[in-house]
Amino acid sequence: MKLQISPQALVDGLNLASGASAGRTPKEALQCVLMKASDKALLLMATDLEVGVRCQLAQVDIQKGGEALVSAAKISQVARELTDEVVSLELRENQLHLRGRGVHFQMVSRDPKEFPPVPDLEGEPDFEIEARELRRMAERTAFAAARESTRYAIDGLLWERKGDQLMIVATDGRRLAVASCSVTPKGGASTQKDARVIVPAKTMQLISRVVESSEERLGVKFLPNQLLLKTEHVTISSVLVEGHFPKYEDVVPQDCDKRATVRVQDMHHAVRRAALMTSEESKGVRLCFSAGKLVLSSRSAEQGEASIELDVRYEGETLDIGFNPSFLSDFLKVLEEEEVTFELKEPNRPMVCHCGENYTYVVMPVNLS
Amino acid sequence: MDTVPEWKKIVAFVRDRHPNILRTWFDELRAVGLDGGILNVQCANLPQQRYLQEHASRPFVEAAQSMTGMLLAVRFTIGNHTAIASPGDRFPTPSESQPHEKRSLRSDGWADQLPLNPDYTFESFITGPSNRLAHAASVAVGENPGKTYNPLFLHGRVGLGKTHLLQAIAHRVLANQEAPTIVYLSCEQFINHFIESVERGSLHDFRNRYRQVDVLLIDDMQFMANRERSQEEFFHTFNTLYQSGKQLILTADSPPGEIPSLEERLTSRFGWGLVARLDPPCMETRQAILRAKARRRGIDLPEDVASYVASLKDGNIRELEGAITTIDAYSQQLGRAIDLPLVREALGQEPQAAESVSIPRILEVVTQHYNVKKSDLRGKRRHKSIAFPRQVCMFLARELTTHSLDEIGSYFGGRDHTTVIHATRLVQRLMTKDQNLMTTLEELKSRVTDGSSVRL
Repeated sequence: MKLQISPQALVDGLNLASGASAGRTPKEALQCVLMKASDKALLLMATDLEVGVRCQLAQVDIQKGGEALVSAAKISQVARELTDEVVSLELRENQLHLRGRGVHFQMVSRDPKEFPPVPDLEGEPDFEIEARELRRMAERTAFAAARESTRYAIDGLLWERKGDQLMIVATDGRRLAVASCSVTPKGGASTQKDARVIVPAKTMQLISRVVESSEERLGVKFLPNQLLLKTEHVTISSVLVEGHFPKYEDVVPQDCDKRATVRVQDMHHAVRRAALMTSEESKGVRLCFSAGKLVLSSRSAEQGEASIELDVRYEGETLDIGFNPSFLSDFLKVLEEEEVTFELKEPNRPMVCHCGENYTYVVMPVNLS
Repeated sequence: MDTVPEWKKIVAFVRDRHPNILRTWFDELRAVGLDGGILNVQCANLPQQRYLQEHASRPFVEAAQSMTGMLLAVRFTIGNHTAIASPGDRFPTPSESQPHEKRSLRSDGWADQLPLNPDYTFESFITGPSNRLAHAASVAVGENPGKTYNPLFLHGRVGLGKTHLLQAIAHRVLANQEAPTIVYLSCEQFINHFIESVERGSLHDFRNRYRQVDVLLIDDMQFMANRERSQEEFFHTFNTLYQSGKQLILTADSPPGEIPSLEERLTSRFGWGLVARLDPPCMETRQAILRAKARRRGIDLPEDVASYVASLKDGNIRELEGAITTIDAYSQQLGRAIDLPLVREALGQEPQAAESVSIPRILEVVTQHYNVKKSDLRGKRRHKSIAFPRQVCMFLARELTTHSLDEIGSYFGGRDHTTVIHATRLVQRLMTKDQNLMTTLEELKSRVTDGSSVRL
């Protein structure tokens, strides 16, 4: 293998690929990135056996094909420190040589055969989705996914496809976010089939990274126990989480009889301010809804009290209900809309927040007394 | 032992907030685990699971969320009650629970057969002098299908428990036998299947399907009336099953001999086994039924109230059930306990069906249905489009009111009492021949008695 590449392109590719490589594993090959030079492009591959990335770098000048398997962390560190316009990579006798002006790194390359295959999306995808839409949906749901698995929650997000709709659902057992968008069905084998799969949180992070700045369309394919996503240069593959995801239709209450509409900015600001006077013991912020008025208040024995009033359009009887303020601001922070609608029933029943047609957030109250 | 500490509170919450969906077997439900935001609740069998999924899903979700403070969903699984789940146990995976699911009604290609109601078991059937024979025969058949009374033919008026016994037999057979093939359907479905398979030319499949069951239960056999081809097909099915010792259980609203235009060979065969009649329950049985129904909904019905309600309503058990619903709703609205004064108030204003029926009411319903003018029906014109609705009016007036023939005749344009007799007989005769007319008349009758006029 012998090629010339700009260190910046290499860093970008490695950043993406190293997201998939394993953190700690007895199998050292999984901490590595496989660099495979063919006629036209350099392909970077990394996997921890659960999620895999294939990233193609086109702006390279390849003189000789070949494969090298090197530590993902180390080569990323090295590449970041290179200041030249162009560096050369050359594999000779299990040593990868990186050369710039006056710089020479020599890294151990393991046997490429140790590296497991990383799946590619073959054939037609099931459907295509705008990267922009997927980014928005990921942003609007990922925060609600469980950080650590308790028996109330699972580490994963539900992807549900119904015809030309895709829904992503996340829950940590105290809140649940559902975002949806329309997709373009394609000719994949399971095109007609609706699908319901659970995607690991790690895969979601990786996807977010891929769609971060992209304006492309992504092809998506569901296989038994596998999800594949593909842009022009990057393919992500992921195993799926086995288990049952709570039926979100059941979780969302249908019998709310109180409804409040409020400006997102005002509400977010009010929640942030009220949160200042909460403490470990009294985490809740009290929301008191009445005609035309919403009062947020908080109290902490050692700090003091706060009360913030804002205008609201409210229908229903007066209601006092408590929430964890970070559960509210997590949600308010991702909204681009002007207004948000809250639907409520009782102080011990969940609050349903609607913003636009494609986004619903449900949050459990906390007990204030 | 429950693996979810809040389980008792959850059930209590459902009991408190949703008394209308309560069933006695709710006590036997167990929480078998909390996993991935799903509370897994185990019930005993498929009918219970279906009931829970259809009626109790939201109440349980509401209760689970309120009691745990968690955003939970509830999932109903079928499991073995005797097995005690240890805290580390996972809920049964589909493969584990499969042996139980197999012990259900046939599902392959029988998707449209009637589901069993989990409440309709022998345990919940109240016996009395009026239904003792039918009950005893049903139990015997349920224990030993095909060996005691074959066929078992149950008949009686609506709301006396035919369907209850039929389903109870199915439950008993399902509980006792390993994977029996039970087919339970209404007569209408049998006829529809038959017609469909004739149209599709798949009569062979039809025969195979029906002639390979262990227990065949068909409800409302009276709809076989005038269906000659269906009767013939059923005759062959009957013979095949009977000869191979399979159990047949049939119900109808009248004894086999009185079902209009039922072929002789069927009538005689229905009599081979046991024909048992269900009579309207006596006062004591009605009281017992009322108390049992109330208990199932978690309502405490005092003795004097039960006897008062039982004295008001005659035999139909659905009416008794309706009375309990009214009383319960009334007491919840007013927030008062159920006692005699409250029940008098609640049921007092109820229009007594038989009394409120008047000839003008009949006239209104019939003219609406046939789209004719009231004045025409009460006038002299004898054109067929007017004469027939008029005859229907006379028929209904005869059936539903206590007016004399003369009174009826004079109301409809001063006609003779013989005209009324002729009209009544004519409609009766047409009715036995024409299924559509029969259903139309049933509908008109119920509209007249309901007092709910339909605006067209």
